Amino acid sequence: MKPSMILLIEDNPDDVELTRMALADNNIANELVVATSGDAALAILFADDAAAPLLILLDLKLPRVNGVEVLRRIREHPRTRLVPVIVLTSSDEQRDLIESYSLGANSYVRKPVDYTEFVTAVRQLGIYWLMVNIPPPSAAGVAA
Amino acid sequence: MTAGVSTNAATAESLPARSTELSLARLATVASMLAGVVALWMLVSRARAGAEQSIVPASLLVLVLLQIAALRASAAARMSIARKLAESDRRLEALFHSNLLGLAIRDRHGRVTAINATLRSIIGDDGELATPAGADALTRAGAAAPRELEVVSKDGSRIDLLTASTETTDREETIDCVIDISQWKKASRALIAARAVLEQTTTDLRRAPALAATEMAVAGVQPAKPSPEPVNTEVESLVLRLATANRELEAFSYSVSHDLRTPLRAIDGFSRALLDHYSSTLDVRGRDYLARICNAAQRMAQLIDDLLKLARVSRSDLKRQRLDLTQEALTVVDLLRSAHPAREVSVTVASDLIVDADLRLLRIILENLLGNAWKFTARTENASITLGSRVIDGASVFFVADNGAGFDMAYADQLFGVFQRLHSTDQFEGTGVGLATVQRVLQMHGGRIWAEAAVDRGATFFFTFESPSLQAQNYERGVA
Repeated sequence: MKPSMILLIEDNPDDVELTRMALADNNIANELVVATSGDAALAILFADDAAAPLLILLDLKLPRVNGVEVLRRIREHPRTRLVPVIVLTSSDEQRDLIESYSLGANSYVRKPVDYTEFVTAVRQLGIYWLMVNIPPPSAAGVAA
Repeated sequence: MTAGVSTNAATAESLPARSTELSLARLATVASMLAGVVALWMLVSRARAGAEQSIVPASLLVLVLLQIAALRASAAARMSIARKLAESDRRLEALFHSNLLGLAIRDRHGRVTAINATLRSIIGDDGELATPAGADALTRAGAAAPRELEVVSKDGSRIDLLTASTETTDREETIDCVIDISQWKKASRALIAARAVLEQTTTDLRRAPALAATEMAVAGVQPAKPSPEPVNTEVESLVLRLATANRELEAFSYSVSHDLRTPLRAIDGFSRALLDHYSSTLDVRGRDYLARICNAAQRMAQLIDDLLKLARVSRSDLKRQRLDLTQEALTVVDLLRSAHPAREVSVTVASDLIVDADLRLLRIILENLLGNAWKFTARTENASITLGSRVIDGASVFFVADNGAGFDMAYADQLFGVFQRLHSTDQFEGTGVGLATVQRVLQMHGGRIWAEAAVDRGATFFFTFESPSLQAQNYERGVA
């Protein structure tokens, strides 16, 4: 993975496509890597030669290893512990909010049903996390 | 009882002396001495009248000895009675002051002359009650049969008491026995509220059969019988079923929250993509259909969100605290004004409205009722909304009144059902879940909501956080 990559952890192919469309509609050109399950995401992140992505977009309800568990492992691993993680999910259940923030999620965004609102949300995320926000020092550097 | 307890009871630490028996003993002694003197006088006068001289000194001696014996016996008896009385008094004192029951002694004017530590700990350190109403109630409750009554202590907390009173045989004094049943009443109220919520849930589910089928299947819950048995026999099983239903409902709504919205996002998103990127290959009708698909998806998302809110209300914990309803209402009004800056609505909120309620749930009530008033005055000239309170049947009742579209009272019974609407969506937007949610919230508080309205002449929603009948029960219902 290149350091400018965005990792999208999302099992629903429609949501993957909608996210791609929304990123494209907002002219966000960073490469998008998609993991369609929690365990696939962990395999990508913790592969021997992997670099940490610039940003992780994390769905919570995932097959096998759920999003909360993925977040926990991300925060435990020296290579990924500082990577901004944005929880991008359908629910706004209290339980999900509390667990996500407790485990160190940097942001929590509820995916709107209205596609126009979704595009707006993705644009705002892109502007903030890719332009306004100063990312942590290179994760690889921190790990070394 | 207010002034009485604080002034008299503080000084009257010991029980009143019970000296009636002692006085009687004294009276007996005096009488016997008097009789002796009279007998002696008769003897002497007979002797003087010429009886035999020899008998007089002997008789006199016997009489004097008898009298001395009588006096000593009487004195011993008095000593014994006094000792027994003192012992009895000590026992009474101990019984009074170390009793687990709260005890008070009142004189015939109703003034409290003694109060024990237990009662002091129940109604506050200085034994003073805040409400004269409470004090009157305690005096009124001076019947032999145990009665429940509710009083407010000086620090403002509400106390439920079980009291019974007995008059002394001379009718000079009354002894009040008091038990603090606040915890018990609290639990009982919680059970009644839980039962109301459960019954309402069942009714709502029956009204929405499709949803009911799904939810029952997921929750594995049997619907409650249409007319359940009296509370006491069923409370335990109801509570158990409610707990199970709550747990399952939580799992159900968690799943709904995640899974039901996802396909809607795809429907809306891809329809929108077609409209945005392929509109040149679609004619007007095709674009109209896609727009309808988008609208329907968004409306369904709104329905799901509102239903989830309702479910969350039902399973949330109630944290009652004293709240400034006026302030909360003004906050909601500010939000409405900033969301609809073009609207000109005259809003009047009465000052100093205080309520014991859960903050989050109070906000849900105000957002819905004020939001409705705001919405249904959208087509009214000189729109006005009033929030105030009045006392109905001894209970303080709040109301939100508007001069908007109103509704036909013939359909009033449909107002609070889930998905029930009295206006079509093209007239006024809405999902028909808001008032059902408000009703649920008020039921959880033990209160209720009702409405008065007329078509095009506005609607007034009355709501109370505690049902008047429950208040009346606390004051009036005897237990025995």
